[in-house]
Amino acid sequence: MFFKLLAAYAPTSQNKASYDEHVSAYVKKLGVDEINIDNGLFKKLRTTFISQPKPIIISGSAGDGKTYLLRKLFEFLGGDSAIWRKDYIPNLSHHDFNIKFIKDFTEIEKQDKVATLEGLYKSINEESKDLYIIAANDGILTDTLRDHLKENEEFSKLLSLIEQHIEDPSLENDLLLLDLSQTSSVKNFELLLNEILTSCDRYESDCPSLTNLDIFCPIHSNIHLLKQKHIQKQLLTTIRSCDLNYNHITLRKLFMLIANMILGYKGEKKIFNSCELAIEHYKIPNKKSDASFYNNIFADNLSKSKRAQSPFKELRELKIGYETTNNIDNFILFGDIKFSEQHTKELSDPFFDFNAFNGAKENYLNESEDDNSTKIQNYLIFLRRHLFFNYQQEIHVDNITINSKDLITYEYSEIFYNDVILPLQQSTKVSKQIVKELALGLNRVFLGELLSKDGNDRLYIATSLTGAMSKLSSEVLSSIAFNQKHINQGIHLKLLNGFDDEYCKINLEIEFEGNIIAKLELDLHMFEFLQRIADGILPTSFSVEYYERVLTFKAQIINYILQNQELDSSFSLFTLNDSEGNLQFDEIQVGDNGYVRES
Amino acid sequence: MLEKARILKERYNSLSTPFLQEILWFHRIKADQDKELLTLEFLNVCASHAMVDKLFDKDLTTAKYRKDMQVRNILYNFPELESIVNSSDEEYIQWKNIETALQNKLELPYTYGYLRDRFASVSVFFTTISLLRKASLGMNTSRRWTSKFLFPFSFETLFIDVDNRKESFSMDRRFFSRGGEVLYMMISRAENADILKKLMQDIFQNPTQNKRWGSLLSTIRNNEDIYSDDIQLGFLSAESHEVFDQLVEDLISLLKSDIPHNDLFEHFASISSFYMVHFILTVALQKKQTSLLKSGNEKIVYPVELLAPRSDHVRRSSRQIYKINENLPLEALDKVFQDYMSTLTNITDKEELLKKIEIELNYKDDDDLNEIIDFDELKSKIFKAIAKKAKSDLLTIHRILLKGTGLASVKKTNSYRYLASDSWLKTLALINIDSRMPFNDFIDKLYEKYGFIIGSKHSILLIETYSDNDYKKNEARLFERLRALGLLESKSDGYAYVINRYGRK
Repeated sequence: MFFKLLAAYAPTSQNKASYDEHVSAYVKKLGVDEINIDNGLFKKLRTTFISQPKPIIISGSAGDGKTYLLRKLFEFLGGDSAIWRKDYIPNLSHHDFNIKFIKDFTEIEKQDKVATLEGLYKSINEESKDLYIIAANDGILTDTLRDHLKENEEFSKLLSLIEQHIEDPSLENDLLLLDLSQTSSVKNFELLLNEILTSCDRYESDCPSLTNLDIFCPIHSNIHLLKQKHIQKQLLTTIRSCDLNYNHITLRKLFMLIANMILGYKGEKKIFNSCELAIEHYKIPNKKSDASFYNNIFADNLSKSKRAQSPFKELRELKIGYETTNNIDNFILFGDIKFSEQHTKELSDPFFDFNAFNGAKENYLNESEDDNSTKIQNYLIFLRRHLFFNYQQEIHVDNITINSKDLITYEYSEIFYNDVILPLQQSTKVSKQIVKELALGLNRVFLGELLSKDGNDRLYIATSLTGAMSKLSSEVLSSIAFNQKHINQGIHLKLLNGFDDEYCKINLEIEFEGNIIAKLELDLHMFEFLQRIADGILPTSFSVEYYERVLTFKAQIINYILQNQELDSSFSLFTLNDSEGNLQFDEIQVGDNGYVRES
Repeated sequence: MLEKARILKERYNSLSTPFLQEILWFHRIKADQDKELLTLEFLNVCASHAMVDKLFDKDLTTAKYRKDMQVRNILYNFPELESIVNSSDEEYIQWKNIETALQNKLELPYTYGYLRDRFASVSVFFTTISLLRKASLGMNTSRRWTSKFLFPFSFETLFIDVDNRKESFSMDRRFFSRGGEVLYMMISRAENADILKKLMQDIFQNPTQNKRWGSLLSTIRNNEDIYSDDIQLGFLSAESHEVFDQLVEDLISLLKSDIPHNDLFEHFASISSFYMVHFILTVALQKKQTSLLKSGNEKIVYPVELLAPRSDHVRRSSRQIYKINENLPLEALDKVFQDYMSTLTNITDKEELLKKIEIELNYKDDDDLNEIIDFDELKSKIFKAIAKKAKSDLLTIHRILLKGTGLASVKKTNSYRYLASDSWLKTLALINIDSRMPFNDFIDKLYEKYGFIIGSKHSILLIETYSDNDYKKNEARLFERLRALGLLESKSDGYAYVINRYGRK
C-alpha cells in the first residue's frame, strides 16, 4: 500500500498528494503513516518565535511546505488541528498577543488580503496586540501592496521593508521573513530519501523478488541501489549542484523526483504503483534499464514537456550520460577484450544485461542500420550513468584513469563546494590560488586577450575606446591588486547565508579605494565559466549568458572609476605580447600646453 | 498648408518634386542615412547651437558646422603614415616626409610644420593618430575619407559630412541628408526639452569623462578656421506632437542612467531611430483614420516576435502588420492628395488651376501644352511623382532604421517582420525601468507606450484573430530571453521582476 502513496507524489498522477489537506486523508485511507521529514526549519522557527514573538511571513514557491510549517506552529502553541482545518483564519492567544494565522495568502478574499496587510503594518510599526503569521508567495504579497498604494500610504513603507528582507535574508528587525526557497534542497533530499527508504522497508518487504532471485522487481532493485552509501553520495553531489546554482528544488518537487526514481519506467503508465505490476511487466523480456533510477532521475520515462520543467530541467543540464571521454567509451565498448574481469566488475548492474549488450554491439559493428546505432547509444548513456552513480574511487584501466568528473558537465563542482563554500561557511579564507584563477578568468574576459598566468598579477580594468561593454579592449583604465594584505583594494569572496545552515550564496566583490564598488554573483556555473577560461577556452564556447554577465560586471566597475576618479589627459593603450603572454603598454600624455609626450 | 508651402519654396529652391510629403511630415530623410549617421548629424546641430548657447532653441533655423579639414586630412586621408614611421630614416627626415605628404594632398593652404613641435617624437605622433583612428566610426566601410567620423565623445570631436571631390569641401547631403536636423527640431519642439538640454550639456559640452579626447584632437590642429557658413536647417511640419514629447522623456531617462557616457551613444541612436519611424507612422495613421484594433483606437501597433523555432501566428501577424505599417505613409499621402484635389474640381481655367497647384504643391509641367483640363490624368501624373519620392525614402526608412535599431529582421524567414533583438531589449529595459518592475507591468508598458504586442493580453485587441497560444509562448520566450540577458530576476514561483542593474543617477 505504501507504493500507492508514493505513486500519488509522482509526476503523472493527479497530484493527490500535492496539497497538505489531501495528504492526511489519503494516508489514513491507505493505512500507512504520513511521510514526514524534520529538516530543522520548524525548530528554528519555533525557537525564534518563542524568544521574541513578532509577525512572521513565510514565503517560498508552491510546494515548499509553508502551510505545513504554519500548522505545526499552531499545534505547538496549543491549537486544535480540527480548528485548523475548519477555520478560514485560525487564531489563538499566546501571552498577551492574539495571533492570526493566514494559511495561504493567495487563497483569501481580496478585502481580507488588504486587512491582513494593514494588520501586519500595525503589528510592526504600532505595537498592536494582533500578530500576523502569514504563508505567502512573496510575489503576491508585494503585488497586493503595490495595487493599494494609493489608498494606503503606509503600504509603501511595508513594501520596501519586505523587499529589503527578500534581498538580505539575514536582516533582523521587527519582522521575520523566512524565504523557504533559500533553504538547502540537498539536505531535504537526503532526509526525504532515507525516510522513504525506511517506509519501503516497513511496508513493502513482502515482495517475492526479495526471496526468489529469479524474479526481477525493478522497484526493489532501485531501492537496493539507493541504499548504498556510495551511490547516495553521488546522488547528493548531483542534487547539490542545483543548490550551488541557486536553483532551489521545492519539497513537493523532491517528493516527485524520488517517487519517479523508484517507480518510473519507460512505458504506457510511466510509473508502477505496485510490485505485482512491475514484476508482471518484466515477465516478458522488456529492457530492464528502462526502469533504472539512473534514467528515471532524468525523466527519460516522462513526456518532453515534463523534462523541460524543474527539477528535471536542471538535472538534465548536468548531462550525466552524455558527458564522456574517449577512454571511458573505449572501456565500455571494448574493455572486455583486454580487461574482461575488470570490465565485468565495473559494469555489473541489476538493470544491465551483458548478453543483450554484446548482441547489440555485434549488430552495430557488423551492420550499419540506424536502429543499431540508437540501441548502442542508449546502452552507452545507461552505462556512463552507471559508472557515475557507482563511482567510489578512480578507476584505473591500463595506464588510463577514469574520474567521475569526466562524466558530468561541471568539472569544478567539487572544488567549488570543498574549497570555496565550505571554508567560507567555516569563516576561513579561500585559498589564494583560487582567487588567482578567478582573477585570470576575469582578466581574460576584461581584456579580450589570452593573458598568461605570469601576466596575471593584478586585475586589469580594461575597456575599448568607445564603450565599456566591449568584448575587445584597447585601454587599461586602472588595475586592482589582489591577494595582498593591508591595502584598500582587492577581490573578495563574500558569503550570504540563507535561512538554514547549508543554503548560501557567494558574491565576488571588488574593493577599490576602500569601497565595495561592484559585485558578481558567483554560482557554480559562473565559477566553472571563469575556471575554464583560466584553463584556456573561449568565453562563448561555454556560456554566452554568463559572458554577458561578466561584461556587465566590468561595465559597473568602469562606471565607478569614470565617475569617481580624477581623469587626466592620458591614454594607456595595451597590446598582448604573444610570446610572454603579458601586457605591454603604450602611454601618451597631453600636457596643458598642448604638447604630447610618452608618460 | 499654404504657409508651409511658401516656407518650403523660399528655403529649398532645389526642391523640384511636389512637396506633399514635406507638408505632412518633414524635409527630409533619405535611405542611406542609417541610425549612426542620423545621430551624428543630430549631434552636429547640437554642437553648433550649443556654441552660441542656443541648444534646442526652436527659433534658430540655421547652423554652423565643423568642417575641420586640416585635422581630417591627417586622420583619414593619410594612409602612408605607417610606412613613413616604419622606414629606417632619421627622425628629422621622417618629420619632413610627413609634412610634405600632408601638404601635397590638398590644394588648401594648410602647412604642417607645427606637428614636429607638438609631439615628443614621430612615434608618439603615430600613437596619437592610431589612437584617434581606432576611436573612429566608419573605418571599415568603403566610404570616402570625408565620411569617416570620430566617435562622438563630446561636441568638440564632431565633423560634418562633406564632398571630397572638390577643394571647397562643401557640405553635401550624401549621408547627412537632414534626418538628424529633423530629429533636432523634433526634440527642440518637445515639452521638457530644457531638461534634456541640461543633461546634454553636462555630457557633451562640459565633458568630465571625455575631456581628454578634445584635448588630444586639438594637438593636431593649427588652423582655427574650421567652421562652415550658416546652413539652413531642414523643415518639420508639426509645431508640436506627442511623439516628440515621448521621445524626449525617453532620452531624459536614458541620459540619467548610471552608465559610462560612451555607452549612451548606441542606445541613443536606437531609440531616436525608432521614434523617427514611429512619428512617420503615427502621423500617417492620424491622416488615414483607420485602425487595426477592435476598439477603433488610432494607435500604431507592432506585433513583436521573440525568435521562434518555427513560423507561427506571431510571425505571421508580425509580417502582415509590418507590410501594412510600411505602406501607411503612401496611403496617407493618397488620401490627403485626393481630398486636396477634390477641392479644386470647380476651377475651370487651366492656367489658374496649374498656377494654384504650382504654388501650393510645387508641381510644374512645362510639357503639358494641352488647353483642356484632363483632371484624372493630371492627378495621376502628380501622384506618380509624389509616390516615387515617398517609395524611395519615406517608405524605405522604415526598414533601414528599424533594422539598425534591432526591431526588424528577415531572420529565419523571407520577408521583414518585427523581431526583438537582444540589444533592443537592453535599450528598452534601460530606458523604461528605474530599478525594477514586475514582468507583467513591463509587458503592459511596452504596449501602452510603444504599441508593442508581445503576449496574448494584447494580441486579442487586434481585429484579426491570431492564436492565443502562440502569443503566450512568445511571451514566455521574452521571459527566458530577459533572464538569459541578466535583465530578469525570478523569485519564487515564476514571479519575476525585470531589472535595471545600473539605475539612475
